[in-house]
Amino acid sequence: MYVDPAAGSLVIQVLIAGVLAATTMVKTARHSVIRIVRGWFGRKDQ
Amino acid sequence: MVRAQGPVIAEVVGGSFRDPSGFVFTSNGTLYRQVNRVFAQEYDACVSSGLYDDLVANDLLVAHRDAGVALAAAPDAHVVIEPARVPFISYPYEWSFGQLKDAALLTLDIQERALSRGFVLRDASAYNVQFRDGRPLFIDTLSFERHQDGRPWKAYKQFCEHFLAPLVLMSVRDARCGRLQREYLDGIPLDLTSALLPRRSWAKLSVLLHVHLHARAMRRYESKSVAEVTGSRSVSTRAVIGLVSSLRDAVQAQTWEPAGTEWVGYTSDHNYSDQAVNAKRSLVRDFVTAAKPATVWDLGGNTGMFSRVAREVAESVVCFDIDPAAVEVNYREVRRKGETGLLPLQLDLMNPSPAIGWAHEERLSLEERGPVDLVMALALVHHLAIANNIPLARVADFFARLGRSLVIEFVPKSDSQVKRLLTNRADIFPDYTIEGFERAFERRWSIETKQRVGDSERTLYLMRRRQA
Repeated sequence: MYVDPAAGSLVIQVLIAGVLAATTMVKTARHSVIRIVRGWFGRKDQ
Repeated sequence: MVRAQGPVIAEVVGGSFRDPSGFVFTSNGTLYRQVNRVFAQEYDACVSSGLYDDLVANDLLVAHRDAGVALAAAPDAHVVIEPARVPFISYPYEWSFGQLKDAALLTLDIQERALSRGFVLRDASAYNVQFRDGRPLFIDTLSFERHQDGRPWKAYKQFCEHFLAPLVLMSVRDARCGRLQREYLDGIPLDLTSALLPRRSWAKLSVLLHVHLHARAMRRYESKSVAEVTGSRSVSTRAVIGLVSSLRDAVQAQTWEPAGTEWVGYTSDHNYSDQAVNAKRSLVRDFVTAAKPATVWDLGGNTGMFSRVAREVAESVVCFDIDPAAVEVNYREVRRKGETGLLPLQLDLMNPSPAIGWAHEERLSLEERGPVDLVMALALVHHLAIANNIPLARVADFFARLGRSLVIEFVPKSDSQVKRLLTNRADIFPDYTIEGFERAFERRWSIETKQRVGDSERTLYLMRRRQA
């Protein structure tokens, strides 16, 4: 269904976009590190 | 329901007529969804991307088959699909805390999978989710569109108002706040949520951002142009993924433990001996077996002990209870054991779910979702007749509108539970006797079988609705 997004709801996303993107990068990097470390110890990747 | 203009005689299902991209309709008892030409490109792109197959294969989205455009119920049809039917349509204001939380997490799961394939949920309504076999299932096949990098998520507000706001209110304030969803069909407004939450909720980063600051931004920029405020700045796909991840953390952080309410300890505290419980269970099994129902509504079913007995016979049992804690306990049991065909829901029989939304047609009343083969009303009548002053004849009438057979328990005044109800009030119920009960019910029902329950003073009946 088409929803009314509300201007403020879009604006707040633009305002915090940088922080959100950075958070995603950190999480992705953390997952990569965990995967690599698990690989070292021979554990199967979940 | 609204009759569609087209070659096929069809009834448009309420709740779907606000979407120009398509609608749901029934024809000869079968449920279909028409996709309109205006949405053809988005729909085809989504199907060919593999997103539908991925979501269906993972039991996240309702499966469908192509039914052929000849079945279209209105002009401008692109395709007509036949989605698998959900046994009982329920609404967020009937769900327990855990059900709403699982529905929220399902919506975020789907959004993440959609983003990974270049799509996005164009709406995030809680009404897009139904429960089947104890698990939430997304039912709106037309909720996806291609995501354009740089665009914010336009359903962010809707997700917060439909899911996060009621969850936070229930978790932080009171589980009964979930009932606000019945008043606010498009989600609990964030400014109201913000006003109802305690000051300490500002200390939680996710609530601060998605509720309090979100509400203030909506007020501040209410009539502003987004382009003028934000200039050339955009929201990268990575930021949208971050937003979804942040919402997931916010939803996960909301908790509620069902304890301390009136009914949740009822099954263990009631005045039945173990022997009487076993006798009642066995009687209920015999009566339900005799009624041979496919569908059952267990009214006042508490945490579902007798719903599970009914489920041994029936394909689909809905267990209603007024107590959010009992419904939550029941739902957790269903999830833990992977039970199928049993749906716990919240319902106040004194104020059952009405027909609401535009023209009273968007959300069905309880009665409109029936009748079922069998209604069960165990240890319930005294609450309606004595605690709430409903004349027994009216109880008989309403149950006759809900089901074709009835398994009902009469609890006499000599029973300790009824004595408790009469402790601080005058006994103004001279007709509340077993004879008065039978007299009131025999107007609408024929008594097939009746039997005393074990060593209790209670009597269990199997009744069939009389032809009107």
